[in-house]
Amino acid sequence: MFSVVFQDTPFSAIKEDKNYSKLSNTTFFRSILTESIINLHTNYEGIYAQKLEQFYKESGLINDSFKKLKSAKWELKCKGITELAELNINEAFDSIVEVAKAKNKTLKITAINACIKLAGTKGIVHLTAHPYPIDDWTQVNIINAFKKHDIGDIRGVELLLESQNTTVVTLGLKLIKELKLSQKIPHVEKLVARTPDTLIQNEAQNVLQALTI
Amino acid sequence: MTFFNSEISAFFEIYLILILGYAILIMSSYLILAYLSTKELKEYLKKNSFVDYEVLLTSEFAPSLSLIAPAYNEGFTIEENVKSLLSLNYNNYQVIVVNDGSKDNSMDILIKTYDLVLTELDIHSKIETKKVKGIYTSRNAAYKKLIVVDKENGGKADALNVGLNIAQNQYVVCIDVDCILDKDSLLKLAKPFLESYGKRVIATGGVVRIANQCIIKNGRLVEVNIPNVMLPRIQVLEYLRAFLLGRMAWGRLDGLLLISGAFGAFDKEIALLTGGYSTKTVGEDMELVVRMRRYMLENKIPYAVSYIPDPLCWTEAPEDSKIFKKQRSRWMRGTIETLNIHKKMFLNPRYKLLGMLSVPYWTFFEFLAPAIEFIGLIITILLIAFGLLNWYFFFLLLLFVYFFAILFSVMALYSEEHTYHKYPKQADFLKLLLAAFIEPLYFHPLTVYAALIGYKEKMMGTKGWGEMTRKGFTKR
Repeated sequence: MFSVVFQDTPFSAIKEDKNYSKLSNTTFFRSILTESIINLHTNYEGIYAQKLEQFYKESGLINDSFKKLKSAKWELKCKGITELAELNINEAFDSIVEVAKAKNKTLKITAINACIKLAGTKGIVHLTAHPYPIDDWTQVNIINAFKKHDIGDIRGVELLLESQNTTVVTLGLKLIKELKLSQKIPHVEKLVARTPDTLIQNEAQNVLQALTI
Repeated sequence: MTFFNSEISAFFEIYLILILGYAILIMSSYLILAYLSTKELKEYLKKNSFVDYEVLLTSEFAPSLSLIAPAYNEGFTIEENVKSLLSLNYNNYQVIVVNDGSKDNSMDILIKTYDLVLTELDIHSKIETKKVKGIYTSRNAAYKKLIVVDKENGGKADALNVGLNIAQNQYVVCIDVDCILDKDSLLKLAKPFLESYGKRVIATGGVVRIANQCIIKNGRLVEVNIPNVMLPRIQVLEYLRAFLLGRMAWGRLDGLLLISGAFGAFDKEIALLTGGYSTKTVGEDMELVVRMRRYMLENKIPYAVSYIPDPLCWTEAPEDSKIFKKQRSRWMRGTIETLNIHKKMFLNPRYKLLGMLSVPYWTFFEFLAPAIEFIGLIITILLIAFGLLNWYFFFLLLLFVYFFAILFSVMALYSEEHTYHKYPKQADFLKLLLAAFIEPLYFHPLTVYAALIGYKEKMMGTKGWGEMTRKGFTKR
């Protein structure tokens, strides 16, 4: 990996290496290689990160991650999603969004976090139609993903306030409060005016208070 | 005479059938619980590998916790213990140390070390307790999370109730002040409170491990060792079995009756509504969990009790057989008292699994087991005396029971090795394996004897804990 990141060695050259070509067919080697790339990618940015992403695609390791994403086992799906999101594979977004609708909580959290990393608010607007309650732990994780990936474009957060699912509305309110989105105040005011749910009303008023002070 | 002999033989035969049935039942229940525990543990670890606990560290939505640590004559270690509680990885918490009328200089040490001053704190005494002499907070901003309460001696339950009255947060974490907590223990303990939707999580408990001969540095466990003394060493094995192969299963079945008094978190509102810790029993930890669960069931409020298999809390086990017997006889008294207080639940379908399985299980296999074993011993002596003992079957059965006990301990060791692997040294593993062979011959008879003392004490009306001296941890 050193030569890939720091010595500009192209994949075509690595492919010619006898040891690499022999080992690259073994599952164990491929999984260790993917792990190394993920570890390096979390520590590097800019050109180095791009080189790792390039290698991940050219070496075909990306296909392993897609296979994991399609696996029936939730833990493999989680692993695939984590890999694809870490290496910024935007093509995986649509498939991951589908997984984010799952009932399995761990899988859902992993998928939503990945969606947020890959596409910001676009990664959570589907929650507007989410049929299951979203518990506080999932909400804390979603809010943290926004902070962690420093999502600047917050268009669409207000859509969560229109959901029929009260837990999604709560999530929208928490996001607006935590990210200090004062530009969303009109949407929160509209929510206060229209919702018959007193709990939501109180939460919304708290958000308004926090944002206007 | 022949008629008399045939009467005796018939009696012994009926007894043998009953005791065989009991043995089969208890052994199969152990195996079923071990199977369920292993399954649950595997699932937990799988899920946990994708969990980032640090999200709670920076979140304002992390549950607010009040740690309540009762202290009685802990002057020797209190300074370090409180420091360790104040440096846990969590943002939203306070530490309430309740000095339960210590006769030593605990209070002076606390006042001096933490620069404490008397304060006027608004207390809503929802639970009646012994008189509070004073409440102290620190002048030093570094200790703003700390509240120290000085009160008249009233026992552990009374001290915990004072903590419950004073606690300002939504959840209380009740701990033994001399326990060593894992740095992330609060993060792990708090998570279940956020997870359940539609069900109120009323309590969470974590695994307690034995810290004898482990190395402690600045209130943190830095090296895990196996005790050289056999008594605490076997207790390491016993705790592994109980927590890894028992309570996990009860957690999965939603039938957990006990959250260790050394480390457990509770929903403060429900704990207060049910009257807090009972001062009438020495098994106040188990009694509170049962009462809280009973309250939720009787009021038809959906609820959950959660259990975390990670080793979060390390405690010192008795090394001396005298202290050990005191501890275990007290545990037996606590069990009897709790089962007696809640006898209404026994085989009562209104209390669902708790009434139909958990309480009967505790009655037959925790409360009655030592008595049945003792009766078994007497009858075996009688069988020998009457010349009715079939020695071949006797030894066969004895060997079977002996090896079953070893097998069960080995299963717990295997489970530990494949999950948390807290004892990485090969020598430590072998020490534990050796302990598994010795336990049925030395430790088990001791626990049965201690339980019999517990029965006797209960019948004699003995109350209170008795003096429990500790040796203290090895420090670096």
